[in-house]
Amino acid sequence: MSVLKLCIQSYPSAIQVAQLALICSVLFQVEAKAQSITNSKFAQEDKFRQMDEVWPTPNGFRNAAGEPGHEYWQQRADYVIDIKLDDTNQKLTGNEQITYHNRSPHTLRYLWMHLDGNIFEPESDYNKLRPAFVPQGRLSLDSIKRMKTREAFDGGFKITHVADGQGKSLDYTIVKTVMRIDLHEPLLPGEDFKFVLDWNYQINNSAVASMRTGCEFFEKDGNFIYEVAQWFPRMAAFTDAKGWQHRQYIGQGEFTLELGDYMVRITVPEDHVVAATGVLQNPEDVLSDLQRERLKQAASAKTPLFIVTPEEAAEAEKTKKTGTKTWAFHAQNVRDFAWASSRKFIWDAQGHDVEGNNVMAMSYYPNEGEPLWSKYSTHSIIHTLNVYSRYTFAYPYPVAISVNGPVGGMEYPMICFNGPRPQKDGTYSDRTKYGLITVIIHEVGHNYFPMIVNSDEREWTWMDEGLNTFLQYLAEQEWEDNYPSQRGEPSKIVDYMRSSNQVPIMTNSESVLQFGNNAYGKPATALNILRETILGRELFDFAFKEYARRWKFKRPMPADFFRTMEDASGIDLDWFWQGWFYTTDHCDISIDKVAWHTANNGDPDEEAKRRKAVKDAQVPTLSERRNKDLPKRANEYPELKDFYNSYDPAAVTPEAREEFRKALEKLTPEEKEAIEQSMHYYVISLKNLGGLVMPIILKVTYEDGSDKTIRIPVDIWAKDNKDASTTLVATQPIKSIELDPHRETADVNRDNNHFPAKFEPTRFQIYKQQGEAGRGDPRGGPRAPRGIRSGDASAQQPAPQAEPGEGQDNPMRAARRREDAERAKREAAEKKQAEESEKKDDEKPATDKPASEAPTDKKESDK
Amino acid sequence: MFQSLVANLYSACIAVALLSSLIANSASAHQFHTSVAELDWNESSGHWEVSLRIHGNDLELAVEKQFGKKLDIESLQATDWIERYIEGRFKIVRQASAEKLTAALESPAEDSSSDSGSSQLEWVGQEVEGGWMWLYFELIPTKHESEMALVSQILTDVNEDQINIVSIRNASKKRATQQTSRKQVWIRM
Repeated sequence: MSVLKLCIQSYPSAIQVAQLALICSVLFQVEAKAQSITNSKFAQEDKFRQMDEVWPTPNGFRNAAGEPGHEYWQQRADYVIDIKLDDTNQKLTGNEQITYHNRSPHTLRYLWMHLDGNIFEPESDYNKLRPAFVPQGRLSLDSIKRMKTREAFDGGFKITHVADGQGKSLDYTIVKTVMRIDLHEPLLPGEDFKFVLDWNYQINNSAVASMRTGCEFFEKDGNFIYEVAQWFPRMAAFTDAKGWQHRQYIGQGEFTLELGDYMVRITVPEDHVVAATGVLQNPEDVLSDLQRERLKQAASAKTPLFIVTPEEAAEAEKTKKTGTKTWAFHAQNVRDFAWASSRKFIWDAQGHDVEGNNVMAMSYYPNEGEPLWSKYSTHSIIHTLNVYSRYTFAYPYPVAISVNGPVGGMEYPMICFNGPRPQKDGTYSDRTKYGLITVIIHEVGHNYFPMIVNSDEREWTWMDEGLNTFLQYLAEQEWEDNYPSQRGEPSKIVDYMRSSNQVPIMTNSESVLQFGNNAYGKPATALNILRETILGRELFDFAFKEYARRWKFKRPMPADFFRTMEDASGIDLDWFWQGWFYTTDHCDISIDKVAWHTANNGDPDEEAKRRKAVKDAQVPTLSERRNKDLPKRANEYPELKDFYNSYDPAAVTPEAREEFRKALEKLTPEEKEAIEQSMHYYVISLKNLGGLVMPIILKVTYEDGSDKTIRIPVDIWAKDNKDASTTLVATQPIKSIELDPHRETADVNRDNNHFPAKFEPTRFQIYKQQGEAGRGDPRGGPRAPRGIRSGDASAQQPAPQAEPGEGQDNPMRAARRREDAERAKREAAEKKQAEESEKKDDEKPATDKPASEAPTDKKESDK
Repeated sequence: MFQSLVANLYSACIAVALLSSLIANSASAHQFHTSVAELDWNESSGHWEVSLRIHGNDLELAVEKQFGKKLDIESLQATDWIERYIEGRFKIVRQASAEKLTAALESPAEDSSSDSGSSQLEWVGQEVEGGWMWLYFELIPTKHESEMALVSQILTDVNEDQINIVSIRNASKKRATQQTSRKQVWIRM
């Protein structure tokens, strides 16, 4: 195979991957050498070259259509775990029994496990590789103290015991964040291996060391919220395509594991509420009768119901009970297990039928999350399940949970952690509101990719983050009109596409530059373009759903996705994958020039007129002019003139007229009409400046103001990917042409998309013009310019009006303030009026307003 | 996993602000630290017109860090603080001054704050778009030498991996896109 293929498939070192951009930019030179395909006679890359040379050779495990092959296999690991939370010291102590099922055709002499918690060891690669932090500005004593605490913190796994099912201890070797366990006997294909581990570790306090897991301390009530993830020694994946996935955990690439069943018993303080992957097995031991009754009601409720109310949660956080309770959870067919615990939790739930599967959507959050969380969290979960299931498969699990705590946003099977909270007074900005809905959609959405479609983020971030961000965009757009989606629309990726320091999407997670744009935004946008512009919604949705169906509870690799999308849509997309996923090319197509021709309809009289006009238009040459008045012999001897001296070759003969008349007679009325109209032919020359080949979308506006949109497939670039041209035939002159009028291709420079040339107003100009026209929202509108500052900025001390102690202001709080002021004013006026009417009572009969007309107290009515 | 936290793990200066960034807008478990600026030359006014897209959360953190003010960045009260923040970190200077600035980053003893050739900033306004904010302002160059540089240190004080994409369309309407980072804080104009 080619050199390039070896590079990609051997999952290269960081340096090699950093060079991938370069490699891809010379993709075909490299390949051509390896395959002896050289072409010195056409200086262009083949942007439509088939990808089979780059993708893995199809085999019995993964076939050429992108489906699991007839010999597909995957390993399985079942866990029984007992874990105890020490709330006083924020420490976990646990033991686990793993049953590892070797379903591979290979004999295994050792097993690899992940110890992700070792990222918290002071000497971890993660800590060593952190970019140097140059403090800018002064460091406070407090900051220095925190830095020291963080540097000293050791949250790594302390493994205390590893033994096989018979209690015979097993040798193990810890390699930073992974661990090899050496087996006493080789594990043969089809055999199971049972073994046990004991471990403990210190939970990271998110204020000191923040990660995908951790605890958050609340000073005012002295309680913690624990969000516990990547918390037990977990079996590494062993696959046909990669062997053992034991890439180190150094921060970016999240994880992949084996699917299996989990029985987990979590022992916590007796007044804690626990949320976890799976279904609670012993509600009678840990829940009150009232809570169980509420759960039963919630299962068939139309809106979320409280299982633990805000008042009950507020009461619970006042005391710390010393006893413990053990919550038992069972989860089937999951690739990981996470949980959360606190006495601060409010808990709401609503049962929901997702395409025939009854799911309990549940949210856990402290009073600090209110009123935002009870309003939006569980609704967001259900909305996500509805939309995602429609585009993939019915959500297969019995619960879907969103928890608020120290983690900003992270996904695990059936459960995810989400950060946004309102201000202390319960008001919040729209940024916080949409931030919350967005992050819940995203993290709940991860159940589909990569929890169920088990792609490998330690290797490829885009396979879950990109696909999930794409579906997140679709779900957001179904939440409400004009939902402020940050990713998905082609126009939103333009800045990234034209930026430098990029790597292709097909780059290992740890080497990705501009992570959010590369692994989330660009693939999500590419899929949106594929759906809207290349395939159309019908073909795309069928193919995408087919990919989800094929790889549900299985482990796809990139080529499986690419191949399935082509296989199920019936469209060759190699050019698309190559351009969008394997290169850093961007779309910049320009209208280079437009040539205008009119047609000859064959009428000999009109033809003669045209020729005469052309001839008449010719200015005589200098010699012709000077020779004109010379005496001519033929004039002196008229007998020298004959037929040809009077013959006009341009004159129309009767025969020609007759021939034209006969030709016209043979035409159909439609053809006659067409020929009677004068036709205009335009040849539009296009240049591909960005390198990325894309279809051509032209909006043509005619002289009479009518317009039409013409879509030309990408194949216009198939033989020449730098220059292309197309012809337009029109019955009237064209006034203007616009390339990509609906902004669907992420064309990075729209200045060259117009004929005649036109510069679109910049965002700045639009904003300024709107401001001049007057703008409703004072937050959005430009304010009166206050002149140019002097150079000494430090002398200026703007006086912000934030209320002391209350922190940030936001529109909601301002509105509430206005409401309060208005109510106070109204009440004062009413009081005055009442006093006056009392005075007048003696003079005339009372005309008291009925109660219903009394102005209502907004706050009261809100309750 | 939540973005702005991973890279900040050790950055004690920001640790105090961790919780406020937790409540902010993030849709995933990784870092998104990119700002985008578009500069267009306005021939008639002789000003550079700038649209700058930035993450509201990060700006909030930056203002808090620099001025010790905890503000809702979208509120009108925040405008002056945002302006002051941007003014100090986004400017056109002589290339020699920009080079001094780089030297100062390496050894903070060097003072590079004073440059009589620095552009002046005229604020136009701001706009909220989801978690993003658009800031609009004009830069008025005071020097018209050939060797000018655009300095952008937007958010490099709070995000170690901050990237600031700058796209400049000059008088002949040619657009060029470059970027600055914590280490490379300026580009040639």
